[in-house]
Amino acid sequence: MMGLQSVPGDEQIMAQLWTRFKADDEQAFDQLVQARYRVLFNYGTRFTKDRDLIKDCLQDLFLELWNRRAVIVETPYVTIYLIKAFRNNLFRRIRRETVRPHASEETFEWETIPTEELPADNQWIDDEIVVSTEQSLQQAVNQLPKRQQEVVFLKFYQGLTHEDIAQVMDIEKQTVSNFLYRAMTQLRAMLPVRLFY
Amino acid sequence: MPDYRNYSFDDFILDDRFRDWVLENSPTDQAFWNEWLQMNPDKVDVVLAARQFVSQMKQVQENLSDEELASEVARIQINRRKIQEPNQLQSPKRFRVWAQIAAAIALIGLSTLAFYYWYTPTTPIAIYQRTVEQQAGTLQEVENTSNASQLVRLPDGSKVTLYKGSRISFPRAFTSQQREVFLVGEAFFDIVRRPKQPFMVYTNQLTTKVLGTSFTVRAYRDDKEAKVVVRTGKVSVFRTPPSGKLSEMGSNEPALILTPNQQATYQASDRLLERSLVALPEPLMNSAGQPQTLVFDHTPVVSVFEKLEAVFGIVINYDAELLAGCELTAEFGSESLFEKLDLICRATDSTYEVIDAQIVVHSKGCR
Repeated sequence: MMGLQSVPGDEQIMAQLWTRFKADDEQAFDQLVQARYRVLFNYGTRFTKDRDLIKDCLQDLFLELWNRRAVIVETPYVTIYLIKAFRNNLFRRIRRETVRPHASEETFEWETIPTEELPADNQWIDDEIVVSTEQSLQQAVNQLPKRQQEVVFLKFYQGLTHEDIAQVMDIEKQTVSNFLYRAMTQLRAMLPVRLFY
Repeated sequence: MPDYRNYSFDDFILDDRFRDWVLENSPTDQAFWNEWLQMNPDKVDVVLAARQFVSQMKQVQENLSDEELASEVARIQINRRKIQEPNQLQSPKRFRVWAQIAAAIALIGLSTLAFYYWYTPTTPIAIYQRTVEQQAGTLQEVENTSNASQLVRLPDGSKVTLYKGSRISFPRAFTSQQREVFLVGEAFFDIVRRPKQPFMVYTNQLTTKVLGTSFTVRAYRDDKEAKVVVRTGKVSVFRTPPSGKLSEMGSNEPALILTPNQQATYQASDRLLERSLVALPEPLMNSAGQPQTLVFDHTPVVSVFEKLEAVFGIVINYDAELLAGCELTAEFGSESLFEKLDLICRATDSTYEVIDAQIVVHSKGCR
């Protein structure tokens, strides 16, 4: 039961696709890409607003997987594997492209994601109507410290367990709890009460 | 199984089973939670709040449109085939790749030709046709060939009243970032509010962008004039660029912002986009529903104007100092806005005109 819990329903399908694609099944590979591209891309937007960079990084990641399909590991945790691999690649890429070569991952100041996604010509719309809960929630999430944003994404977008998040981010499980707790506290402070209970 | 009765809001939003119910809604989860809620009616509020939070948290972190996803997945597929090819020496497969490349080049050539062919802004319906062709298969088209208006429901629940002889196209499912429809002819739109997902109406000359509101778009293919009329909310209207490039829309085109009872008119002859008041401004929807009777008894005219501004959602310009001594005693019913203004002006010896969708009152003042 414990083991199964961190493998949600469609993870079993992902694991099957993984096995098939390792055995040269092109169709299985394409299906896997289709099924997991979205979560990886959205995860990438937590670190950089450069969408093309994220896309290129994902192209490279998947092509590398295809090239090395004979030697990569069998795993029942395909999504976590992909998330982790993508995270490493993206970090490496961002670090390479930044003008600050000495920044380490911990002190690295990730490019800030704009708190407002809509282009400027939409400004009047914001003024017009009471800002919707969804919009203010989005802004609030984007204002969280980067590491908290990452935990919040992995928890609330992808629904990973604390253990999985700890593994992906290479931190203690307790740290995940702390990040989530702090994120919730900050969200509560920034958002209208009616969003919470 | 945890004891959900002791769960707080935070416990619920972090619970995997709860999350699956909100996001996947499998029959098993549905049955479980429905039963649980019936047994614990005092928890309905916290559960609903947590549900909303979980589903919004997913939504606000979604940044990829369906089109982008499709095109990136296709790019990976193509690149995979490319790297795969050198390893496989069978000539039929190799031929297929060359055929693909040739086909791609031919396609680029053709579409370039098509682009220049359609580019001519004088082709009245170019953008519409091109868009429909480009998105063939993903777009659903409704043409009203009947003699009466036809109600069309969009995938997001918005309602469109399609006038006779008009046609509208829209995707079978909107992307998470935008709701786009293409119109030829005339239609009244009643749009579900979704601030994160602007609603765009493209016509040959005009593009209308809203978050949620109701308005009419009129753009028949042979008309010299295109029009957008706002009933509720606010919309922005700009000219559809000749390239028809949807993605470039709105960034550099100056937009006209319309509020209720205003309209934008586009004249094909001089390509001018102008804002004006509609011929018969109607009281705003939210002012209690019924046609209001306005009763004024020795009321300062300035207050009367303020009342009218509120009821019709318009701007009336006047010199408050000059009008300070003017009073009005009248009972207004179903007269139109302009009839009311006529009466007021006659009573106070003033005149008015409409400039850029605003009323300007000229008065010599009362003593």
